[in-house]
Amino acid sequence: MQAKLEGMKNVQEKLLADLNDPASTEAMTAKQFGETTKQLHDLTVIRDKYDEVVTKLQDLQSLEQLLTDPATAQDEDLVEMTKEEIRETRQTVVDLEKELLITLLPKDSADEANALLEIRAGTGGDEAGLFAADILRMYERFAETQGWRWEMISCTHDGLGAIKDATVSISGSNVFGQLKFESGVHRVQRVPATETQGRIHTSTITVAIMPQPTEVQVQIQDADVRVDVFRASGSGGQKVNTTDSAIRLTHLPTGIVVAIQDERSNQKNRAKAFTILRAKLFDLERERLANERRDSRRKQVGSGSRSEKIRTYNFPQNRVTDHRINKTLHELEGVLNGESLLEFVQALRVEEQAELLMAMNEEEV
Amino acid sequence: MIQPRLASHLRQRLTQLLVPVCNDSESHAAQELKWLWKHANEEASKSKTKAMSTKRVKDGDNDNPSTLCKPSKSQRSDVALALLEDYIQQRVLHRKPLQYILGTQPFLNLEILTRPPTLIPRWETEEWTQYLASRLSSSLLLLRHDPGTTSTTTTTKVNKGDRYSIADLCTGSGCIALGLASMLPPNSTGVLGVDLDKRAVQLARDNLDFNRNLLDGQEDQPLQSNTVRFEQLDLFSESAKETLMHWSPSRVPSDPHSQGYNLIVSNPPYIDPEELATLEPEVRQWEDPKALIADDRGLAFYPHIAKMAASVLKTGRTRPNGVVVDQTDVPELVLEIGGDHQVEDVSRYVREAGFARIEVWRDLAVRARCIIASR
Repeated sequence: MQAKLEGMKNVQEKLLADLNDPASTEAMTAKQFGETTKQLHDLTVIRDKYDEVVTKLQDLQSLEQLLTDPATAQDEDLVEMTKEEIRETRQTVVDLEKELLITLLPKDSADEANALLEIRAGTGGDEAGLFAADILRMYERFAETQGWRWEMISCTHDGLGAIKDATVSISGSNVFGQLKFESGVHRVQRVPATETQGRIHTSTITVAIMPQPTEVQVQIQDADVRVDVFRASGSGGQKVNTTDSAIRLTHLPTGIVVAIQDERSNQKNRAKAFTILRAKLFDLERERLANERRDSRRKQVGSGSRSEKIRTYNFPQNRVTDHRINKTLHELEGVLNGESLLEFVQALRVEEQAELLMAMNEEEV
Repeated sequence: MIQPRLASHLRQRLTQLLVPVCNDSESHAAQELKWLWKHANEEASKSKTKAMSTKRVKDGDNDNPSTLCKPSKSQRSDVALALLEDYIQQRVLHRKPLQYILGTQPFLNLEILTRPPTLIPRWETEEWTQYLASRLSSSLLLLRHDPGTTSTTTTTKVNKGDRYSIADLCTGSGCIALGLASMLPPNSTGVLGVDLDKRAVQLARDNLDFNRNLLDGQEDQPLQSNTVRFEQLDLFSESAKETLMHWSPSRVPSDPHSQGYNLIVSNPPYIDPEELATLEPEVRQWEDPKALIADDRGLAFYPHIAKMAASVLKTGRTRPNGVVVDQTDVPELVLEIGGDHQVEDVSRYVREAGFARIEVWRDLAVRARCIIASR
């Protein structure tokens, strides 16, 4: 481990020197420059942490020397103080080492990306649509607490207060990294308002979180997309004043279909539809790569299938349980208003880190 | 502004009312309701005077002292609800087009003001305008020389006489003229839009002002310093050709070669008078028949415009500096048509006027939508 860290330190120093040398930066393409800067940034975070650990370890050494110094031993107060300080420093070292380990974990490059959130009512009829609306609100409030920008791309209402599906673009810092474990089937157990005999119903909704790629990351060929618009009967043009600006994209190679009708502007609907299509293609590609890797790796918390049941919201028992980490919170209201959701988000990240650490150890052995 | 939510049962009821005027589509009716509700709230919060007058619409009584001061939140939402009901009545009972109620129609990156009876921009027109602009942009950009340097540049100011010069005949709301001006390279182009109808010319000028203000101060200049001008003109008048030449955006009095046009575009009326009765009420009852109907099975304008175009297009296609257009596939005449049934006739008129290369563009619904020609 020590050797590996020293090696990283050398690489970091070399990159830093490279970037400070005009001759070598001029030789780089814009893309190389960007990659180098990114790599340097990641390594610098690790190095700073490592340097802190090394400094603290040196502090610890000199404190221990001080303790063994015969001159110190005569002063009882000083001995006590030094012992106390040694305890504190040891604890700091342990904490720092933990942090250092986390900086060393392999990173998902999409963690920092903005995300698309998709919610669909599943089984359970109206009740599922109502629950979909609840969950949509939960994420909107959560986004508020995180200072993220929330932009509704499309939403299909269905009956009284229920929604059939919704797509939202969420942007801000680390959105995908925080939300990626929300993908999957969410289940609600409660007595619907319409239920006269007080029976508890179970309904489900599906949540999908996808990172939003840049236009460079996913390029779509015009020839691969069929664009359909609303077609009035007859010959259109001046004869028809359509206010229906709905647009439907079909990506021919994959069969992915995206339909948007929320904006009055054709242009905006089209732009939104392409944003979603791009995210779906990116997601598909990530899934393909993940499947390739999965054989050689243990199953991770975030890589479960979209159809996996991940969480239950039980109203009669006032609890929310995440089935992947077996964590239950007895504050349903707090979760649904977005405040306590952070506890799940953090716990899932810790779980992911633990799994990654285990994987890293296995590799080293 | 935070927009209050409509109560669910109310939303459902109003959506159902709108379904018959929304191609029987419930999801589209829900969209229209959403847009109308947003507009009602914007209008309600605009000013107290406005709120007073709309309050009166709702109550049918005279000055109500409680509305003389700035309306409170709940008053405002009362006003908004009253407005919404009024809008829906106009929409459903009077079949007033949504865009005349809302007052605008998005067109490319612009918001086009809409007022009865001037033709509301259609999506087909928006689509071909964008396509035309992108096709022109690449030619204009590639071929623009700056004689002072060896490289082509897009920032030099082009002399007036060297501008790419466009005429939009039957401009209506001005959407095509403004759309092109906003999408073509900065400082490259001058557009003249003309219309027979005084109200249309006024609306087009308002649109020029409105879009300038709307996008003012944004990073990319909306009209990119391209010039746009709207004038009233009867294309069938005797002096029409001379007037067009005189108004040419590239005209410099000292240079006789500067006047004239590089491109003529037009969305003239093209509906057969016999079809009038079959049009949907939103179009038939609200939009100017002069902007829709043309004699001779809807074809009356085409031979005239084709001949007019041939006589005002510039003869020399290249200029020593400034905007150079000599690519053979750059259109010189773009005519929107009513559909496949008019392709043959319009092509013939255009050919007879002296245009050798003729192309048909189809819209996203795969209908023949434009005849494109160059000499």
